[in-house]
Amino acid sequence: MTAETATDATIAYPPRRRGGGRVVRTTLRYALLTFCSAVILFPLYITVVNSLLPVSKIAGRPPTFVPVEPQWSNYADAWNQGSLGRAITVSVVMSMLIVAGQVLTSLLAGYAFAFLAFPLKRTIFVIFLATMMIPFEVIFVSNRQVMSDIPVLGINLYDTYAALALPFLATGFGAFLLRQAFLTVPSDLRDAARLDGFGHLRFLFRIALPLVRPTLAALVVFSFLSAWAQYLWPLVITGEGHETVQLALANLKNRNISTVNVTFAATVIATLPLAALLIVFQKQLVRGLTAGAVKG
Amino acid sequence: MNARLARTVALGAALALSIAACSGNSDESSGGGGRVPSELPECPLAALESATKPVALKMWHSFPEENLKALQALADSFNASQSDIVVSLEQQAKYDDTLTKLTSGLSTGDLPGLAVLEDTATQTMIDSRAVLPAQSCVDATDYPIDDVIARVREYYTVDGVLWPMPFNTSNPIMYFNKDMFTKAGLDPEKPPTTFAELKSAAEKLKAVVPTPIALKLDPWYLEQWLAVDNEPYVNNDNGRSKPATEVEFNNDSGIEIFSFLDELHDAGLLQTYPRDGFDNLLAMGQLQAAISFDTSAAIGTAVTAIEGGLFPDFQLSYLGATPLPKPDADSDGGTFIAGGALYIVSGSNSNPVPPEVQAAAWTFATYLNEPVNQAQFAGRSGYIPITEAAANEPITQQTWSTYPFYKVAYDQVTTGPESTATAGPVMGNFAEQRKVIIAQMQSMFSQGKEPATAVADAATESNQILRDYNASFGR
Amino acid sequence: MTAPLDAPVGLAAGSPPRRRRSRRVSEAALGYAFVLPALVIFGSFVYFPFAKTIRQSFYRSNPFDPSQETFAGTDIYEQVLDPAGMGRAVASFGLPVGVVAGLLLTVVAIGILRLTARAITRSTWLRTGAWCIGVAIVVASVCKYSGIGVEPTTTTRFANSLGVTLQFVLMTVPTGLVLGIGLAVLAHTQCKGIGIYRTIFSSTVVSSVAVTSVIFFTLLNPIIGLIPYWLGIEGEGPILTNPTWALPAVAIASIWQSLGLSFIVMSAGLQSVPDDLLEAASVDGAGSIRRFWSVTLPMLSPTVFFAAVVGLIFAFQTFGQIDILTQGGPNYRTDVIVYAIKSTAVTQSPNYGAAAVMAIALFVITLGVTAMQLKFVERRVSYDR
Repeated sequence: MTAETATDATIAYPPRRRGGGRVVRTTLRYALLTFCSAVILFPLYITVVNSLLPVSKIAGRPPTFVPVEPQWSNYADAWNQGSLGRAITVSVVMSMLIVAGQVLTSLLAGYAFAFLAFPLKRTIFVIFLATMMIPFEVIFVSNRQVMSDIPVLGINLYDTYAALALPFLATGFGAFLLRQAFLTVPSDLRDAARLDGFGHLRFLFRIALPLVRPTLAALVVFSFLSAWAQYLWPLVITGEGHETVQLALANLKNRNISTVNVTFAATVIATLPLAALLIVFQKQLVRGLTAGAVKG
Repeated sequence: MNARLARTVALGAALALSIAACSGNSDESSGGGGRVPSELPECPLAALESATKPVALKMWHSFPEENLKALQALADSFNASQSDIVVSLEQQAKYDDTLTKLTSGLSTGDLPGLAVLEDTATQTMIDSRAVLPAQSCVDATDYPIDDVIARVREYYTVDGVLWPMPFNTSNPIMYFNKDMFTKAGLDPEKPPTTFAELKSAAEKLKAVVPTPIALKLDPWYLEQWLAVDNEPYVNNDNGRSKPATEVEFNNDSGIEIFSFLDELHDAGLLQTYPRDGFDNLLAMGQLQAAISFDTSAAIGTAVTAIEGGLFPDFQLSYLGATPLPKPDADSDGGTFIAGGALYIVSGSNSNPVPPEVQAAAWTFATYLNEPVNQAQFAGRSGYIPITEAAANEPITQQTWSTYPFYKVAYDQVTTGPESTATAGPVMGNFAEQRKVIIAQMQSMFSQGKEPATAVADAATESNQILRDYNASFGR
Repeated sequence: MTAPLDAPVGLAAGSPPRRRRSRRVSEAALGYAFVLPALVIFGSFVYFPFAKTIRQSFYRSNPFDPSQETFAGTDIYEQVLDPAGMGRAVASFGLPVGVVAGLLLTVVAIGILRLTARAITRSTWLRTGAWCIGVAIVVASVCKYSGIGVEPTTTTRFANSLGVTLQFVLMTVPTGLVLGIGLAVLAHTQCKGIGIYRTIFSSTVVSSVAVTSVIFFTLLNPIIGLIPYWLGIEGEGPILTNPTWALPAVAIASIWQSLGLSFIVMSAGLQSVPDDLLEAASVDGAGSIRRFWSVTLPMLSPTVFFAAVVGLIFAFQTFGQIDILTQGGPNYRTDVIVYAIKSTAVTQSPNYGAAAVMAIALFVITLGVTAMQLKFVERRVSYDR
């Protein structure tokens, strides 16, 4: 599986029909498209709008849909009340740690499974894949106990970056993905490299890695998205010190019973960076999300 | 692939299981049997003397707005008055959250020195072995604990040991709208004193307001009215001579209470409101209800709201408060106290709280209970001044004479007999058990369940909760 | 194309014996070094906690000092899973849920039986034996726990949360799939400006669980929310504390959030439908609807199936929305399995044994669903790798 999305030229679109019926169909299609877009976009749209309104306008009827005098102070309030600066830092650091960990371990493991021979390789591969069958929600309670009192070392990692990142530094899915990607490296390249006296490490980082860059990028995006959106684990393993953006948002919503505009501003702040990132890395996102779903 | 997968998983699981089994600590729990340490731990005042000052004391509480301000003022004045201890307050969302965090903190190390916990936490805190009983320091310093009014003392004393220092004590009372009473032809100075009188008053009030009674879906109706009937809620002397193992409300008194509420509901005299918040009192303020039951600690918020003009049609003179009506005229018990109390946290084996911090907690707790400070805190909030000295303070006396409804809760807990019933129930996982009561009440109201069945089901589920709780301590 | 794991790969093939052996040793060492980091993580934070969870499910622990524990055998399983009450509870949610639960249980049981039988041995005799034992256990359990003739008791929390989760899954997974397919088909065209629409359809992927829940919490607020306003029920009880509508409301929030992902996956799937097939169908006179049902949908089926299984697994793991929107209420009506686990283990008086049992049950369910995928996907769908 090459994990490349087909270009427009090779996509099979339904054959165009000729005739007057086409105008009707096209209009219908556009109407439906617009309607669906409105419905889907509405919650995000109203969030942005409400983040710029005073509470009285939000509660006022009929509702306001366009902020005439945007109240930008809501954003400052959100930033301060939710300590969003710190929360974003925590989330960024945690996510980067997780992404780095997953990329590194998946890269190495994927290469090993694809190119290296070692005893028990098959068994170890199964061990990797089996982790995908144990959802985190099943083991989070025990993980919490382990974090508070690491066996052998006896240290308490509650409310630390280590606790946030450690359980997710490796992923069976990532190893599987990278292995598949490495397997598509043409064997003549390997032979040429061997003839040139390339050891495995050099081959990996000089030749193989650049070739699997698309898959790696997909993994990065997918990994980052999951890490950023995490809710359950940060909830049970952090206290005041390492509140992530998602937790800060939830706490803000609980505290601000009346000032919902501030909560909405916080929501926008929490989402914007991600939205920007995803727009830029759209292709990688699609690859990452569809990896395994579609052949070819 | 499937076979290999399964085989590897099986092998791996067996391996890991044996590792985990070896690492698991199989202490057959012997410690869970005796509930109270045979000898009280020492009050670590000496540690405070010799510690490097200032000692930092973290206090967890869940007081909102007005009460928070009052507490903060006291903390500030304490910090200003001496340099050995510095108190910092950390606000939690509600009582439940404080206790949950405390329990977690025993493993994670995130612990305060002093925590304001709900009245129902008593058994849980005893079993946690994570608090220093106030009795230790009361004994060590000869603290005049007898100044504290009887029912408050008795509520928090289990098997002869006072566990927390009482602080913010309240009591549920009946709020009513005097103006609506007059309009309905009732005497506003003679509000109902029994269930029967309440029902007939409500029927008359129907002429003035469609659903006269705003019933918050609170769990304490069964608890308190059983106590008013002088009946215990759980066995083993209301859980005070030994840990409670069964509930005792599945009897005529309990069924009578639930039936009465159901009757009011079926007759359209009653509208339910959620447990969180004060929507029921808001409804009264907006003239959608004439009567409601709630904690006395809400008076302060209500008065502030009324005087602040939040309810243009509700004048302060309309606000009436009276003790809870009795189920029958011959009910010879009384209500037990509610609210919260101050627990000195000692931590767990893996995460102990330093002794000087515990001593600091005791010191601050006694400061909070000095008559002037008690009076100031209780003052306009609706909490009850828990010592006679505090009750006699000028602030209190003045508040009572200007706003008589503040005195209702105090009178309610200082009149009547002292018995096991009025001491109040002590049981493990009380908060969980209360959810059962609320659920059964909801079934009764919205799904037409028979009151007798609701009470019986509540008893069955409550007993299961108690069994589970006790089993987890090996008893 | 899957290279068999055993094939001589790497750079050692085709050189003199001694160099080959030492190369092989160093290659093996390198191989172990490369997989070691991940293995350490897996061992410490996946398999060890998993074993711990299994072990915990057999012990009653002191809520404040979990190291103090008493062995309880299968007592906690019986108590938490409450097989007798389970049937009644699940059935009380209505016939569809009951039927689905029954089917799910059967599939899970079959899946596990198959895996176990095949794993134990290749011998047909022994496999048949294992099957018989398995079936006997199932039948005996059903007889013992079917609750026939047993006094009804109130439902345990797990039975309730299983029912709630099943309801939730039924509400969100099929809807999400259908809407995803619909949107993908709608946008699967070369009309002008379709890129904008595609971006909008994918836009909900930027919204995390917490973000979605916070947005919908306010949208559903009884006093200032727009949804009650449009539905004309402003001022009446809040939707999120309404016993009938709380779960559907959460479901809608979940569906909205998953639309973006569903659309992306289905669009990618549509792109792989070969155009000659569609061309041929069109030439044969098939209308667009007919083309959709006979050509597009069957070709899309692997994607749909994959999305269904993944969606199913994730739906069973729902947590964030519940925590932010309803906290399991009102009256445990939105108390999904993961929320039940969390509130049993992180609370005033944690019951670690019960939480562990519920976690294991969740694992078994996930396993069953995955086994189902392995079984059906490998049979029906053709991948040529």
